[in-house]
Amino acid sequence: MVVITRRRSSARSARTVGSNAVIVGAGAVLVCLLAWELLARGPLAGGPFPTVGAIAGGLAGLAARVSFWSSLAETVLTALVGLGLAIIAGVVLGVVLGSVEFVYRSCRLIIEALKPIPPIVVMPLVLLLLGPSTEMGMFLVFYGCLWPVLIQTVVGVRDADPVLIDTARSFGFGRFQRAVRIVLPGAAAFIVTGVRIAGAAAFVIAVVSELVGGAPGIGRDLFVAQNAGLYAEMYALVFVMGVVGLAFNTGLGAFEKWMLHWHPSVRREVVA
Amino acid sequence: MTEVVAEPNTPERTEQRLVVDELRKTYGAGVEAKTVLDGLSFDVRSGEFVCVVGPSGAGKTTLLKCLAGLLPPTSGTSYLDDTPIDGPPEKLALVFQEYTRSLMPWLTVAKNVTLPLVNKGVSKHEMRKRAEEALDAVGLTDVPGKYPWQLSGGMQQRVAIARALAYQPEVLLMDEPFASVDAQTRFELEDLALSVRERFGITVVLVTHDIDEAVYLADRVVVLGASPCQVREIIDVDLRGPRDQVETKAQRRFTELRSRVFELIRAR
Amino acid sequence: MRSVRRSESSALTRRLRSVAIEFWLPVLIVVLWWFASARADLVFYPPLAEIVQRFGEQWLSERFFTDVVPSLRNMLVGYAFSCLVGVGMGVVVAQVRVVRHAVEPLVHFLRSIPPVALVPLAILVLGFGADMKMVIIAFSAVFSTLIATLDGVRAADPLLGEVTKVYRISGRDRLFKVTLPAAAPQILGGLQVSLQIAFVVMITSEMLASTEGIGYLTILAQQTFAITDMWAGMLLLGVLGYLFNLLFTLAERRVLRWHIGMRAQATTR
Repeated sequence: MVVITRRRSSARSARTVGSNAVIVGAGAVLVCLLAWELLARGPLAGGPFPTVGAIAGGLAGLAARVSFWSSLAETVLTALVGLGLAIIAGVVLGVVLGSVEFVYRSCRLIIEALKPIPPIVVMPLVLLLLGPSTEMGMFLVFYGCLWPVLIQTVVGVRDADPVLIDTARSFGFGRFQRAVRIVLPGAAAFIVTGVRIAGAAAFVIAVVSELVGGAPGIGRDLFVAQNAGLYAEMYALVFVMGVVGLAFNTGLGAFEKWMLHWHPSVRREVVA
Repeated sequence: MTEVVAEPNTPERTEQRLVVDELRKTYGAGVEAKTVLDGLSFDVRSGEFVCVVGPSGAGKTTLLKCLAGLLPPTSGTSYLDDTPIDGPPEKLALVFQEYTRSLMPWLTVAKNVTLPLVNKGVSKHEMRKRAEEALDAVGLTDVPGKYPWQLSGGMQQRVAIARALAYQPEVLLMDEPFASVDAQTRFELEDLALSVRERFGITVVLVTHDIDEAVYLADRVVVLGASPCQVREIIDVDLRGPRDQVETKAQRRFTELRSRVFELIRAR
Repeated sequence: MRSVRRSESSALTRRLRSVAIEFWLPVLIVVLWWFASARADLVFYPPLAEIVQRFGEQWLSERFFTDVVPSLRNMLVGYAFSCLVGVGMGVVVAQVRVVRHAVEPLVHFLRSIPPVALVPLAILVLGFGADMKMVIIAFSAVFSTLIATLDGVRAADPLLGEVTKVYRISGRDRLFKVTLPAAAPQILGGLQVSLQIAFVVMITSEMLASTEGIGYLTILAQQTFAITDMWAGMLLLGVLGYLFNLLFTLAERRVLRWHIGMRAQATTR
């Protein structure tokens, strides 16, 4: 009985603290918007800082255009397709690399060398080969997302319990069956973490490929708005990108939590 | 409650070092308020070894945190040398139960021991001397360059005790210091606590839920009742001769005292 | 005596074998690329020998001072700022609850904006100069470090706080000997992400708004179909990306030696 009341009281106090945090956070956002508005109307008027109202107008203007929504869809699609391909390739390659020692050690240096090279570095070549297209964007997302998924999968597979594998072998499971029934579920926690890291990068890379590489999407819209001198629209687009990025991050965080709720010990990222 | 006045074990003048006066601690407020300490009073004389024993969850740790100045009491006051404690006092050290967590894993043993002395006007030379002496007192002369996590649990707790000693406190508080080590190590550390008191002449207040440990170590045992926690009785431990894990515990008086404490704790 | 020598020689062969296993594939790929690209007449894949030669001509000449050095300077100045501000703000914000509640939503939103998307706004506000690049590199890279520091300081064991209070450890000692080391594993994770962001934003800011720098020359080569120059640029950027990461990892290993040792101990026990 005592325990129950105590838990309830702590839950309530946690809730009040939470609501306080929301109020303070919202207040801070309001203050910042107000400060922006005052600066944009006063000392910085006519410069590169449109008023909050103007940016909101830009946002409304965007929302009313079909082309904006199709751009947004294009960007999200680029990110998701690239990410999906990276997950498939990363997991398959990761299982092979993780379970065959010779292959792993042969490829280790190549992975180590390519992993820290960001997609923007290979973009000039990909641009040359595929042109400023959605496929180019998808490939860059794929390239950027492959490494975290691949590396986490390798770590997870190599972490597999040898006793379990021996048990499976004693049941007469073949290599493929062992991989699917024993190794992959064991490595799932690591893979999910890899997907979370990759997913956070996917949207960012999609925007890079559009903004710098000229692939269709909201990144290219930003570039166009800049060249046309549409300041309010630029800010509105950056705001939209923040919202989409936040949605990606929160969605992936929730996905990871949901996948790993049974496995709290493996929440740390493995630095391979 | 009978024998609080006379103290046969200390021949010198009975000087009160630590005084706890009607200490009360309540968490929360209104209907959900929970009283943990319900008006505790006792005192500790200079050079004395006092054990506070009580059932688990009685609020022993809360008491110790109030004494260490980490937690403000709801009402009542404790005094160290007649000065009210309203923050961590300078002449007081605390040894925590969780030795793995109370030592800094990024500092070597020697650096852990001297950490509290940095910027306290202690010279480099003096610091090294104090660390050596403290590590010697706890029987750890060969590990100053190692990291705490390279040592066994018992050795880590020795490092924590050495850190407290190098700080040269007048009062040493210990919060269930030996509860997380194995039995053999625990006996060794109990004797270490006694020898340290002897060597440095400090006042020790040790909180424990282990009745044997309390009776074996203490000059006096403060017995606490279950929550909300009150002082049930303060017992003088009149055991013959220097304490010895075998001889002392074989005395009939030891068994009697032990039963007395046990009955007090069990009583509703 | 003989057995000692034999075990020594077998240790040597084992060593050689392991080096051979690690290196055969990378070496094979480079060799194949070298010869295949020399024979094949593919427009987009010039001979590797030519790329290496162009690399030397392009980057190990006066271009090194006019383009490579400014790029690296922008990046390092911007990154240094983001480290100082991120860690400094993180430590302060983590300890004052009201400030944390106020700052966190804004920081999380700003972090979610793709860093590269801020480059056009920075051009708008600050123009095309080197200071714009340093500012935008610092601004985009700061959030990862800030958030990691915030989390690291907040996740520190509360018991350590009690230890510092009991032993009256305060001010600079507490900051440098307790708070920062305790949060160091997280902080370094944040600093590494910040370094990658700083690198990407350096390249992007040059590709979008510059007349100098490695990123500018590389994208210019691509646009003018100077394929070999483009490859040489990609090669340099790739090497730099690898080197930055390598240096960071080495530094991290030094700083976190205690943490690595402790974790290794925990898994073997």
